[in-house]
Amino acid sequence: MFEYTAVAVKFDRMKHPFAVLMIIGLAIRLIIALLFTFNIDMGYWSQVMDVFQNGFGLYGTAGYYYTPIWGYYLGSINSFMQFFGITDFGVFIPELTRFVYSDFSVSSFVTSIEFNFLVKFPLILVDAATGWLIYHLVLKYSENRNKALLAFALWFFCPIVITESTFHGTFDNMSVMLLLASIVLMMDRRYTLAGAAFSAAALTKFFPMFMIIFLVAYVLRKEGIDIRGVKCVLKAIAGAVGAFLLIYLPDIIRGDFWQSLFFITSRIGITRETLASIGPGTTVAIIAAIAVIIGIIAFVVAKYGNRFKERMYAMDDRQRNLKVAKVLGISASAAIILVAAVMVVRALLKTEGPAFGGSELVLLVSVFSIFLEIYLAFRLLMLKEMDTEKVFTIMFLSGIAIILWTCAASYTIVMIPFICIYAAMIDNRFVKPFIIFSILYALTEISSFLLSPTSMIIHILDMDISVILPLYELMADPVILGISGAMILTLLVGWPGYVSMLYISFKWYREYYERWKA
Amino acid sequence: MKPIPAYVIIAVFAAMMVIGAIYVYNNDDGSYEASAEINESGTVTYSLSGPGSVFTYSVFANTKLPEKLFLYCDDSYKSDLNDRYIQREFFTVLQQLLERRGMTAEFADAEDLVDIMGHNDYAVFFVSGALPDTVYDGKTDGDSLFVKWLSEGGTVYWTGPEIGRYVSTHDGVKDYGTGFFGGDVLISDENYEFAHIESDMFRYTQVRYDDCKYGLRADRADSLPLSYVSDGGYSSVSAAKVLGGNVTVFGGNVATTNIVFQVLMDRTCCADLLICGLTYESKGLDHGEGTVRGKLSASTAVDVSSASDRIFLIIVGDPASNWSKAMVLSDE
Repeated sequence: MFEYTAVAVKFDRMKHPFAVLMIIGLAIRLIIALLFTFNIDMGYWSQVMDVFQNGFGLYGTAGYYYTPIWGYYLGSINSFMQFFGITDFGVFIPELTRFVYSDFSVSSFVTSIEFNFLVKFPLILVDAATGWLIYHLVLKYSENRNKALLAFALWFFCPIVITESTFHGTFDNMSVMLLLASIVLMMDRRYTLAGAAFSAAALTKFFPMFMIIFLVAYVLRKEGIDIRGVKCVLKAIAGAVGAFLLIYLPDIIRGDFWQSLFFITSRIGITRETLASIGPGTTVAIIAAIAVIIGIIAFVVAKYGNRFKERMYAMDDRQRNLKVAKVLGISASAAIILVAAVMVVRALLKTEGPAFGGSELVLLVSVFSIFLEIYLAFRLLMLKEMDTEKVFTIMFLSGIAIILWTCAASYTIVMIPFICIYAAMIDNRFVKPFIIFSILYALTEISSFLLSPTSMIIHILDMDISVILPLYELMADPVILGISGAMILTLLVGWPGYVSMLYISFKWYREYYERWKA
Repeated sequence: MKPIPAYVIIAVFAAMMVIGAIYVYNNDDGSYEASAEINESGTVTYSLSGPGSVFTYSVFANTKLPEKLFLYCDDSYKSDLNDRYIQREFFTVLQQLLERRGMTAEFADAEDLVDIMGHNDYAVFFVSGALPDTVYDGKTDGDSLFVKWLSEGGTVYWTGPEIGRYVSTHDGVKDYGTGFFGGDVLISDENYEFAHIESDMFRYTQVRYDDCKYGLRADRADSLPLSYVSDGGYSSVSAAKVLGGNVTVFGGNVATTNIVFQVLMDRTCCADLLICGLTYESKGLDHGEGTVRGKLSASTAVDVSSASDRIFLIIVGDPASNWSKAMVLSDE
């Protein structure tokens, strides 16, 4: 296997390489954070602050669209700003108003430098914290400092990661940080705290939920597919439920709990009115149903888990894996066909709006992802030994299975740590494909890069918006065949980025298939 | 090797969440206070105190503050706006916003309107897009209770299809073709009609409401655009003379905005306009801005010649207002 020896030599020559890399990465981010901000999200965060400053909490009125965690984050930033007397959130620029509802949406509220920096600075620290977790994980399980440093560097200097926290001020990295914390704790057998961290990760952004199957399988494989393993999983569930209740406690008390889930339920057509009508009785019934289902599964696993494992071990590995893959493949196909059929029926009944759109395609791909996660979890359960390389390989595959569809660059952040860990620790041949992917995919945000000097132009250079207005017009207005400049750029660079992302999976499976055939 | 990074991260994360949760649900941004008075020479002296924010102030003349404000909401009557939950939710939020701004608003159903329209110094806010048959019969020149009340100086806040065009009953909604504006409103199949040109009054109202579907023509006689105007010349918010009364029209339907970064802005704009009683005859006399943290006192000079019924409006917060107050400037 190819060793990245050139990089290893550089690390060995540095006195405190981790600190040096950290300082360089932080310095890059701090400079960017001060000068460059794409304002669509930042403008919205300032308006979220208005929701609770008007006395509505987070969900007393429409206007806040996420779970409480991000709202509490903005609340803590706002409290800091108020404590230090920072009152200037930004300024409205009338010339930008006409772009607000264009295909390439921007905010007409150009946030101030102080606001931008204060919102983004903790997110920069989240990047650093995530890098620290990656470093810790790789160092612990490879006992090789250079591999740990490489993994850290791949994450911390990844253009996508820098773009999202430092240009955009989005918080996908927070979810990933908590997910990694839960993995670190789980591998250290601190299951209750791991469950709590996982709950917070999934409540920050939903994507970590795809890895729940992998995490449960890991615990069962480590502790046993029996009563002992089940107890450990239940500890994690208890931690998760405890964290969930703590996070939602204010909204449960205020009666806003179901409203706070609107951002999830809206995607499956459940309205605010329906959510508001869910009473205590229904809530108790739902909780009871979930508890019963978990109880049944726990009982079955505790009672029959070992028997199942012995039966599976008795089979030939290759034949068994092939058989299970076939069964899951057929099940996945059936599920996808069923979901597609439901979509077709809904589309035929729809009176307005597009019959079939991107969200439907994403749902179909997600069904496939879930079955892939189940198969990966099965393979983890069937490991005869908890071999570090195999565990981290399955973790890598589980991570990249989360996002198989074309998406915004920020959504890919959930899988980036797992690629970094795998490329640094297991197979250096994935370093280059990862770097290419991260550059190409970051370029899908080129439109936002071009407009990111707006805050600097208005608030630092004190210049007129007309300086950058032509770029807004180029990005937002139709350029060719009614397509905006931003869309053209996305089409040009988006597909190479997506292909480079899929190539990582393809490369792994191709090499695996070659080895399997041999 | 202990998972120290995980412990540290979770501890810091938990602390941040606790601080944030406490601030979100206990922040004291409602604890602003303001006062204002004017002397004979037109110097307005005002004071503002609060935890810390940017603010703007404006002085208006020829305003008319209603004695009482009612929010029409009747689930038993059909309406153009079919989602009753949205109506009630919008008005509940508006009530809270108004209460925060020192104004009380009560819910009223179709039967209540009969009593309400015995008082021409009351105001009613309609988001239903249709007037109930208890007070209106579809004839803009008829002798229904609504027409009489409006002729005697009643005040209406309206959003939705042209006022007077639709009449609602328990069984349905009837379309009478045109309403009080003679059909001179922006009709469109789009969900949203965008206005972005600042009207003359925008400088004073700072109302950033940009949907002008069903909006009035900005150059209509006896009307005053209060926010934005579209490229096609339609106003997103206008105060207009109708018979003898004043109707303030919000374009689109302010209750149903579902653009997530616009919802609160629309509602606070609504509240800020409601508390200062602007009419089609109102004028902006002065405007300024500043920053407050703690207490501040300042003054500004306005031209008081031929100006009456003056209001001093202060709006705190950005981008949406967090608090505002309208104070009558009395010469005495």
